[in-house]
Amino acid sequence: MEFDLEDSDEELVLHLQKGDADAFAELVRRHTDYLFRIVWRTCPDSEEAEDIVQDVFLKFYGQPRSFDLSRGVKFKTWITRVAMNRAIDVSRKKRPIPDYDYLLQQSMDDPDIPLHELEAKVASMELEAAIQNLPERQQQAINLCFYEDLSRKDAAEIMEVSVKALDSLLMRAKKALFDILAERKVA
Amino acid sequence: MRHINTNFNQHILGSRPIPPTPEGLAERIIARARTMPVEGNILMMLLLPRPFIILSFLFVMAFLAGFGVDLGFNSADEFSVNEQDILYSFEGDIL
Repeated sequence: MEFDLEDSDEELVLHLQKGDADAFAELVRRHTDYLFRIVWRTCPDSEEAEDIVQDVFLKFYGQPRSFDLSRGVKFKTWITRVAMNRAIDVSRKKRPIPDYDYLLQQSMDDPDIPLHELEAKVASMELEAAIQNLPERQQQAINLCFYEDLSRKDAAEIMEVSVKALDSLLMRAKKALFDILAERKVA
Repeated sequence: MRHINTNFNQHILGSRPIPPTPEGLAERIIARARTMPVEGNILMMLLLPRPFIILSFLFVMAFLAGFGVDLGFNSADEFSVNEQDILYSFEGDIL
């Protein structure tokens, strides 16, 4: 039986496990942008992030039963965890510096860019640098809850911590960010 | 506290940039996956790209030929070597 475009991720995985390669294509189309963002925020190098997303999907394609449907975990939660862990490994080894080429390119393409927009871009680069300076777990909590807008329950499940522990990470992350940014403004 | 949180989230965290996903990334992943067999799916083997099938065929043929299996490309007579042939072939060297 062929899959339906309205099927859930888990139903698509079931089709893939039965050998339907088109179900995999649909999963990739649904989640590539999201995974790229998640991975880039942990490992801020576009080329590395692209390689990680590709590897994670292809490994899953080679072994679709590595996702165990009987455990009741959402596919998105599972693949996010796999991709984030890969990104953390690469980031620990290579310590990439955020590539802001895309931001600078946008500014160069538009010679009439207003000063306040340029200032906003510089501020956003400072914010990125401040987040990159946070401890790993705090970064993950901020990335999942604020930038991907996941529920605290889903984020906690991805990070394999309780919701209470996640809240604590978020509070500490915000406090640390506030301090870093305030310090920069004073300096 | 809630107000401070909202303010912080919207005005500080809200301004973080992210590069766009590289163009065509999803389609590249799908294209690469189509060259791979899916775990346990024998039907997929039939959909493998042709160069791979041809190379696999040549490999099997070379393997069989290595074990002396007659693959039917040459008649047996052409390659039959008898004792006399071997003796005569050494004659020149001895002289």
